[in-house]
Amino acid sequence: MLCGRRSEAASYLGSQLPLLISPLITIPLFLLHPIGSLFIYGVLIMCCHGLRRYKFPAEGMLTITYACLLISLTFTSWQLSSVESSSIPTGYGIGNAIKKLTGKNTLSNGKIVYDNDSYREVVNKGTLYLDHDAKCQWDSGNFSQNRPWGHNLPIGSEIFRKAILQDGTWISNLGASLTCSNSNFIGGLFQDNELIPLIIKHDGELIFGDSDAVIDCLAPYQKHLISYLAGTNNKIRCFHVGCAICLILVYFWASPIFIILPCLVNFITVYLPYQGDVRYIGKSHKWAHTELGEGIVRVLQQHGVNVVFGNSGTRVLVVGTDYSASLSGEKVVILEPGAEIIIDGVQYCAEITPLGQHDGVKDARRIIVDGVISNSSILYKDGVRIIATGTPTAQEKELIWPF
Amino acid sequence: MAILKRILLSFAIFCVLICCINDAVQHSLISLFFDTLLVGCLIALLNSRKSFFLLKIGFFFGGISSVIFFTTSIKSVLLFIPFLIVVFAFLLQCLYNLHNARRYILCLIASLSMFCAIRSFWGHQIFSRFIPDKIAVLEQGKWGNALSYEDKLSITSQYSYNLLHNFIGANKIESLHDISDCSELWIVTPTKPFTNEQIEQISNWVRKGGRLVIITDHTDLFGHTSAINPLLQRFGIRAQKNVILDSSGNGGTFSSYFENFRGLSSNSFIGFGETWLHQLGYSERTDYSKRSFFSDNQISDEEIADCHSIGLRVNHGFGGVVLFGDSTLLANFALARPSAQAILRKLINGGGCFSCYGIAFFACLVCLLSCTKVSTKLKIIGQTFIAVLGVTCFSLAYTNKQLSLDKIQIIKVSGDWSLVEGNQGHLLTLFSAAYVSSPVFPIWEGVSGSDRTVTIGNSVITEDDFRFPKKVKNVPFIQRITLSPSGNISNQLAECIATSGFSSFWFDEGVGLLREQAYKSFWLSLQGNDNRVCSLSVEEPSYVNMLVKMREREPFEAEVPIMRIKEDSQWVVLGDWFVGKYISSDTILVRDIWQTTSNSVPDFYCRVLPPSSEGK
Repeated sequence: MLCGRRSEAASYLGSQLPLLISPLITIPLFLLHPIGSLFIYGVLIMCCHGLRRYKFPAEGMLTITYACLLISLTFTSWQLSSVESSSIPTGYGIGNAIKKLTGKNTLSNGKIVYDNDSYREVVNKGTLYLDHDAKCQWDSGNFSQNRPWGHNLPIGSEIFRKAILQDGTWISNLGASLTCSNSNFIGGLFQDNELIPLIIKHDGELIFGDSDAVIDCLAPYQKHLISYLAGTNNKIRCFHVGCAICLILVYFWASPIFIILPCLVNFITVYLPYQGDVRYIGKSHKWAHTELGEGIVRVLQQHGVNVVFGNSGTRVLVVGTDYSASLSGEKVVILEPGAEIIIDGVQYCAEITPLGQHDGVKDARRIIVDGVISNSSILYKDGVRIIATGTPTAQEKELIWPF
Repeated sequence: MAILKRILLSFAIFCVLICCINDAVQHSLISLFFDTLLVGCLIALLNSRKSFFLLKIGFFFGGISSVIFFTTSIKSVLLFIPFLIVVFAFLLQCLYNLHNARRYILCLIASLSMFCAIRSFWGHQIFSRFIPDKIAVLEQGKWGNALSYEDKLSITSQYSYNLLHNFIGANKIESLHDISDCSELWIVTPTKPFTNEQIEQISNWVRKGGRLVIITDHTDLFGHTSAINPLLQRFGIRAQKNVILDSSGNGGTFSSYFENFRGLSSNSFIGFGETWLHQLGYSERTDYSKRSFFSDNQISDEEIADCHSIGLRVNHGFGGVVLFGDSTLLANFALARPSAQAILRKLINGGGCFSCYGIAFFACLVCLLSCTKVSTKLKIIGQTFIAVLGVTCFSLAYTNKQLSLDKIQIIKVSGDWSLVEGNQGHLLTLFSAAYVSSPVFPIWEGVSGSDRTVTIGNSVITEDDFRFPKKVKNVPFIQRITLSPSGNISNQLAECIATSGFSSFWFDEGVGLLREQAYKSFWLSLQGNDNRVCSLSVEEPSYVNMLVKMREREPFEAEVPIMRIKEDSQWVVLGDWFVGKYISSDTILVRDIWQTTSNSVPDFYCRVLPPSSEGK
């Protein structure tokens, strides 16, 4: 818009309109496919150039329409139900983590469908969570995501893509590929030149193609997507409302400030405080299945402790390899090799030489206190427990969560 | 002349861009800064327009790089190279146009290109030409189970490096007191840390013209990376404690500028040097709590996709250090592979004679001359002289040292490398066993073919020679163990040869008598000795009551036919060709790795039961 390429910019926005409004109305799948978007883009470019001679403000209409729909979609939300079942192992239930992430109560009318021998019709009154071998009217077979997951292209509205981006990946190993002929497409993945729907809406209820993203031990890693669906993600709302307003204004007033503003909003929202139990400082791969510090939340959930990541009010601090941090009220500090923390002016650092099991710590490292190597892998300082280990997730639950 | 000047400048820009990529791969940020500045200078000379065109291009590249960096999991420094280059070029062009600071830019180009010359390995390669060859190997600690070479297919002999020592013509030295008259010192996966005195000694020796060749391996195995890094730090380089995987989670393709090789599992290097071998793949971390310190060996978002330097070399005074990150490829069992031999040839020649820094240096000098205000005649003479000097340096740096083959008998091999390497190589295990099974060692010549044939000596072997009919045995194991053996031992040996291509990892007891004999038969037959099958024979079967114990199964009793192998009575055949070995007077162990592919069965053992007193 700023460089004067208004037709191209408006045509791009127009090509994204089907994806933007797909949660509200049923859109044919081929229009949601990247090729379909490209086709729409081509058509709109020609139309914009053609209509220009009649002084028809096609670019303006497309831009403002997109911006208004973006604001409207940003405030759309859905109900996520929990699933009650006593046979589900600890950490693999659905509901506890969602409640904590969204701060909203959930209805317990959700259903999980997987591992069926034969086809069956499923009636859903709440959210439906499919998984591999669902074999029902909503799926067209199994879907296995190519690795690495973060390299796969999410398809959906701008807001959906932003949520997946902030989470890093769509957490799904093996699930179901949904059919959405009579449903509203919310989000999916583009893989092997195919668009795989993974979240759809039918009769006001959501259907997930893989329950992995919402189970208690993995939901904290899909925080942004879950809170977007539940309508509690204020960061995403701020950002997209800001972008929408910028889109409208830039059409009338082309100023470079409209490049900086969304970046500024995005940057500020990163540092907004959000409540949690575990604070992680380190090279975040946004990967739940690691045995390093990022996997702590998953492991604690599997032990039955309902924890989530946060940067405020946290009780456990995990510092990644070669990173340093300062204490902010935490009572347990876990240092990976080379990590350091300063408490009351005293520097505690984890050595890199592996020790095996030592001091009750698995894959232990010695702690260096102000440059002096101690013989311990676990120290206590003013009620704060400091542990040095190469594998934070291998530790006993009582060691890392004594609360 | 203007067109020629542009061509020369473009060529120089291209050469220095290769250097920039090299620096990014090695994470050498200071070198990257200087090289991008050099490219910027060259672009400033190339672009005479007085406009903001360059700045717009720079911001365009910067925008795209930022979007990719922040929105995807691609976190490579390579992304920002175009942006830096163009911004530098714009700034220099402003300087050039506003203050007519042409000579300052030319001085900058001259000094930055000297920086390239310093990093080029040609200096040391030329110097080393005048030093008589004397190669030594220093064993610094024991590498795992790699004890001295044993005459059987076992894990200890597999992971020994005796063949490597022979091929490089090296003498083993016990201490560093003996290196003063050596031209080259090889250190392979040292597990004992170096003392400060040793580091100082090696550093001084390298500075005076010695070449240090260091071979490392993945994931700080046995602590070797921790042991070698203090020494490497002295030269401004560092071995990473990682393993580089390809997209399938296996070891991948190693590439030099012009060739590709099939690798195993390598670690990467970073620092101030020159990459001579790289790998595109994912860097997986070391996990000390797991076997061989590998993590899960699966590609995930935890791994970093990038271009990694797995072969690095650096100058140090008059000498140099050459690094390679996959010692397994140089172990006894892997040296029969064509890629291993090709990489070893590169190693003994200092990583090859191609040096992007060297070429960039001479290209910049030629451009420099073309931008000066001297007469055309002088320019042409000067440029010709520089070009000739460059070619001379390249020729002097080019060495064609060959493997030292005096101490072993060899057989020449050529053909399709893919038959011998990678997971689909039909001849993989046969070649891996060559160091024990063959009286002559296969040495590869030429480049890889693509016709799925391999010529070993005078014999041509095609892929079809290994199309063994797949036997499907529907009879459950519990019955097969009681059946008399079907077919004869010749068939079993033929099947062992034809269904070769499984993992090359042996256990302490080796691959079993049947497989050992099969591999020997294969190599003997290539010598014209037509013992392709059978120099094993079996006795008549005797039926013995045995208790069969297998994991995850209830033990059961069975009357099992046993045939002893006449050539080695410790080895027996049970039932329908299950190869086993007596491990005590009444217990026979049967391992999966000893069986033919169609007879694959989880390891089990049988205990001879005392004769029943019933009926007496």
